[in-house]
Amino acid sequence: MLRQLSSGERNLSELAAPLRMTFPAASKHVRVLEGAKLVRRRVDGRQHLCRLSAAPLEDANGWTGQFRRNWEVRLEALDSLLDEMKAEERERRRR
Amino acid sequence: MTPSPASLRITTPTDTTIVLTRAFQAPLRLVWEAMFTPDRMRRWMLPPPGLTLTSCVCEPRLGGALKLAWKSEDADPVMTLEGTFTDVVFHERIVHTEAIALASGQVISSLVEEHAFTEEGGVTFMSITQTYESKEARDGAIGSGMDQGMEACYQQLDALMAEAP
Repeated sequence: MLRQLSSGERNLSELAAPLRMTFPAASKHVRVLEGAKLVRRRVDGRQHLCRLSAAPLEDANGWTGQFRRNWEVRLEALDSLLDEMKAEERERRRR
Repeated sequence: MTPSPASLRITTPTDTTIVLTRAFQAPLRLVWEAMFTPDRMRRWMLPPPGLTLTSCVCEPRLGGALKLAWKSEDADPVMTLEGTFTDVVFHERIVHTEAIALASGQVISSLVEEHAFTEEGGVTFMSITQTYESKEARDGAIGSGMDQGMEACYQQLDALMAEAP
């Protein structure tokens, strides 16, 4: 459902069809996503239009995903190395 | 929420750039040594899973070389990184080119990386500006990872859905 919404706003029927869900089941699904603040729903006439509320997804995982994690892991290793280097330096000064 | 000094900030100020900023609880001269001395680099330039760093050359002076190679169980080298230092201001700024290639010679990433450093009260602030050849290349660098990130997120959601009454 989120994959479908990632390409734009959809009404409930459009969301339900490819998932072979009934309209009430799709509606319930959307309610859960709304509760998790991942989807926003607006009513336009008789249509319930849903769209992604992308912010929590971005916050949860970072839109930079694996790129960010790769750098974070390296820079944390760099932090540990710097701690060692600071300790080495203190040791040298003591001598 | 105030980010901790160590938190990594990633921004994309233009279509072809990625800027990473990060602070270190260490004086600038140590950060510089850790980042541009081969023996030190080996300690934090952690390879992708399954790969081992086999050689590391880093000559942080104008025209100096940057050369890294990795091997896998099947191939040695399986991937190389080659670049040249194009601007070096000691303990302040460093710019190098960088081309990452597969053993076949196919270049999978080509960029210019600029590092800038300042120090304040024993804390070093670093910014890395990566400039890619095109928006597509820039998006590709982040995007391949983003897909994985999104996929992980979708999987968490699938689990959440399964639990929903």
